[in-house]
Amino acid sequence: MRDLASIQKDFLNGVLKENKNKSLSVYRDLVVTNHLSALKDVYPVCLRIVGEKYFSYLSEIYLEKRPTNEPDLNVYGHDFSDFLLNEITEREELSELGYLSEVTEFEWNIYSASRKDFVPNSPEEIISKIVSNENVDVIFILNPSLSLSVFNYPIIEIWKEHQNEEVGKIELINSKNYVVVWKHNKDVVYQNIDENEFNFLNLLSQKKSFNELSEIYSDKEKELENFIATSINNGWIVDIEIIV
Amino acid sequence: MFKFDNTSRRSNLKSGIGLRDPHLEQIIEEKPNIGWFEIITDNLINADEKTLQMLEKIRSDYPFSLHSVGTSIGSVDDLNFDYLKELRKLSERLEPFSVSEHLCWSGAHGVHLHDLFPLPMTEETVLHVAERVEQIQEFFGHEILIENVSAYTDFVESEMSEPEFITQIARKSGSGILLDINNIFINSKNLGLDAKKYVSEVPKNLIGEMHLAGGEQREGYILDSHNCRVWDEVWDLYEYALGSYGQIPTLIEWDNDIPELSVLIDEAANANRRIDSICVI
Repeated sequence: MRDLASIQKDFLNGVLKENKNKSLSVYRDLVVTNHLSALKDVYPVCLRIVGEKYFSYLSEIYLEKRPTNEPDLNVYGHDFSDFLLNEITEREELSELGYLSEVTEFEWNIYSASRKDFVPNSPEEIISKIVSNENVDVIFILNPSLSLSVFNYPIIEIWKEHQNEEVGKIELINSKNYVVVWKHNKDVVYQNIDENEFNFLNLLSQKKSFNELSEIYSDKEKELENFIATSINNGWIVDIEIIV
Repeated sequence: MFKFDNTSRRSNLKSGIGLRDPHLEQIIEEKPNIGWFEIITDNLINADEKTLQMLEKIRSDYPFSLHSVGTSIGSVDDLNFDYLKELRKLSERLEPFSVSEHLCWSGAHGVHLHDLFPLPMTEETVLHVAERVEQIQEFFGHEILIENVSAYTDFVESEMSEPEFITQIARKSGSGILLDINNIFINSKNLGLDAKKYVSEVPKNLIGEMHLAGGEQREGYILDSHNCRVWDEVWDLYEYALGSYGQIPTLIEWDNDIPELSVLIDEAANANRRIDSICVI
């Protein structure tokens, strides 16, 4: 007689793979439908690009190849972009859609930012904190919803095109696109930034202190000042932490 | 060690409905005549503060029960205490009259499939699940209710009947039972169980709550779809259960194709009418 561990292993194998066992196929249908629906909620643009039928197919392959161990269905699909990156190299039908993985990374960033809940300080509050702590070293706290990506395609334009926004002709030339996504007040905001801003935000995400940043930007003090001011005003920096 | 026994704390609650997003504002505004609300805790993990405050506002006027779907009580994998911490946090904040989970598993061997899978009804499973329910109750600091699930398959390894299985686990762990009348009906049709015999075999002092829902006829089986009114056969079985157990807080479950609030209120009233006519307080 099989023990509980073996029964559960056999059951999962039966559900995750197409099978002729009718009673398990009911569970397979339920699981496939449920996970497809979760992916559709997060990746509407990817769905529009590849179409309903192919998206369902990809969703099924994704479920089989990368089943999750996360009980919260709201975070299902976090590595869908990485999965697509592999599929694009392996599947001829996706060869024209080299940007698909990047579009889904962007969609995941938007979705994740929308789910973040925090109470930000106003720029005035942050500046006042900085001024009152000018003699000590501080770390700038990044907005917890903020994500940074380097894309090889003009992802914001592609994404907008599938929101029915007028974006003009999109040229799919390979060039670096630095994109930041964050939640500002209650809205999710996205923006192309330049490489220098991107590098600065990257340093903040590594928790570099003000003294460390000053050293890095020792010959570009004005630039550092501008970056900090822009980051506070845009809601990228939401607080400071004093280093004891 | 916990020991659930409803004879010492009979609830005067009758029917309740699930509290779902589309109705939140209407409920705050209109304060409808509903006995209590059920909250699906999994929908609230990482919920924003505004939503939680809305719930607290509703909670000040109505009793709540908390119901979860992600604990995977019957899995051979370790319990996920990060998940349980989130549930405990919500429970401490919303102070429900009951906390419940399904007698099932949703994944194992590092895979979670977000569904409610049935368990083989063996001595091994009874001991395994009872120990885990005890751990959860210790962690929460109170008893929980375990709910019988709908099933589309059974296991040749099973050594006992479903009512015997759930009763043994409840007795060994000290938990109560959330008896889903619709699930008993569905399993009677899908797996050939005797529904009334099932009801009569579950000890009434262990039952803390009952569930009612609508199903969907599919080719060769009934799906536990929670997307329509309660079927007549399920009402009949509910009446039989009320005759056997007396008044028990009863939830109208409706989780898909969620209708107007008035439809849910009407279904709750249908349950209340049966409670009033069958149960002697």
